[in-house]
Amino acid sequence: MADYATVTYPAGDQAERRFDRIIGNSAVLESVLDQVEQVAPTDSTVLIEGETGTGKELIAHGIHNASQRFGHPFIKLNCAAIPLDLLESELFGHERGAFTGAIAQKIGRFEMADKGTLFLDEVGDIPPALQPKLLRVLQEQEFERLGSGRTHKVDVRLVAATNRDLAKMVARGQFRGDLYYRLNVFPILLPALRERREDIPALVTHFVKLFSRLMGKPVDSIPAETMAAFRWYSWPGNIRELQNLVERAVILSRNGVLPNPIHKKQTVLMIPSLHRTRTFQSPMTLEDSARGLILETLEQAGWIVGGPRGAAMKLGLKRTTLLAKMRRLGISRPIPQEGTDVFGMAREDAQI
Amino acid sequence: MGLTDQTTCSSGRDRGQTSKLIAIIDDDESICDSLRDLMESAGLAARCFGSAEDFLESGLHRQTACLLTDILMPKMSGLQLQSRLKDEECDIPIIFITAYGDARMRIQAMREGAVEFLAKPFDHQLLLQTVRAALDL
Repeated sequence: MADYATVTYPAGDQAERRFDRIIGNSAVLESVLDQVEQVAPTDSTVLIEGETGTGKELIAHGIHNASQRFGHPFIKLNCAAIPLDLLESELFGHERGAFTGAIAQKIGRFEMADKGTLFLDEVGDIPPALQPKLLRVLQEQEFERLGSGRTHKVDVRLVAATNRDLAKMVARGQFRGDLYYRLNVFPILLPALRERREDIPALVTHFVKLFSRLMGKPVDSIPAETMAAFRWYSWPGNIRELQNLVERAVILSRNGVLPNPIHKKQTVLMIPSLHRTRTFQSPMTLEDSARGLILETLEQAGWIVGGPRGAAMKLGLKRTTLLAKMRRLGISRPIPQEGTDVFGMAREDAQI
Repeated sequence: MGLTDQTTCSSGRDRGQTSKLIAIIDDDESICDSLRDLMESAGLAARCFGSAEDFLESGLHRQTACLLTDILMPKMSGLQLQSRLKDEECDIPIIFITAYGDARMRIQAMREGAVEFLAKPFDHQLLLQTVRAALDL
């Protein structure tokens, strides 16, 4: 049996995210930052909603840093990353002997965050049995450690985040309505990366510089085709996925040139109507459609552009026109290096 | 797309460098000295500057791995310094030590680069942790 009192979680969960920065100047991002600025100086609870990888923790930390609580602790807890039976003790702490294996006293995250901010990620994963206790600490700013009758007063600002639809969970009876309304005082909806494509080049450049420095591998050139491929990919994993793909591209880079790391099989996500693998809702523009059609035709033509069997002929375009369109839309034949397939396949396996 | 040469300003943050320089800027000499003592007691190399101008003139900004600076200073402010370093492609993580500053100023600083904020009077342990996090970047 696990020794509850001495269980330690990976540093990644406890450690603060520091020196991360908010990159981009799209209108949707500006609107998010306006909301951050408005709500930060208050002590109100904030609920950050957004898909995975959209930077919910970064915005939570931004709220903390812009508030009067900066300089005090910013404590985070991912409710989905802690086993359910340990979550209560993680949040509120316990006294020695509170339960089998509790051999020492433990301070909970609410106490650690006193005078600061507590960031509860994946708040929708808090089990129903624990929800009333969370509601109480939010309303009264007081709680008891497990195994203790002594009430602790705290001064904590809560920022919660979720990628689930809490309102739906309330309707289904999976999440308490009173807690939902208490959390949903000031909701901030983070845009998906595909809704702020204009920020992609700045993000790519930022991560290229970062990984190139970390790996000691200079990258001096990002070809227009590579950048366009980044711009047009659908990014279901958002900025986290972009960061990982840039890391892969920096590893694969040769002679300081950043290759296009987006595996051709991943392009199915860019042309959902053709492949019927739509996994999310995204607006389809004329350019998206054109891009999808060109990719599909190129695939069928075995990536031959000119000649009687080439994609240009099938599309009714001149070879040079098609090449120009491909350049503009960031369509290029996937990297010929052998290693690419290995990476691409490994990634797909991992997603299953 | 070309990237600017990064070698000009990142030497202080290269991996493998044994002593990473921490620059401290404050117009209050006693604060500067006490911060330097704190850094040195933790085995870190630190240099003090009385103003942002002195720091820039020293040329040491090209070798600095972490910058600790007051945000409000008589001549060039911490934010102006940050903007100047950004123009020079010096991507140094900055820790602003301040008792002042509204939300807007801090949000602006967050958008301009890698920053953290500590309030005066600061917690020594928290400060050292933050500096170490910056040196690990």
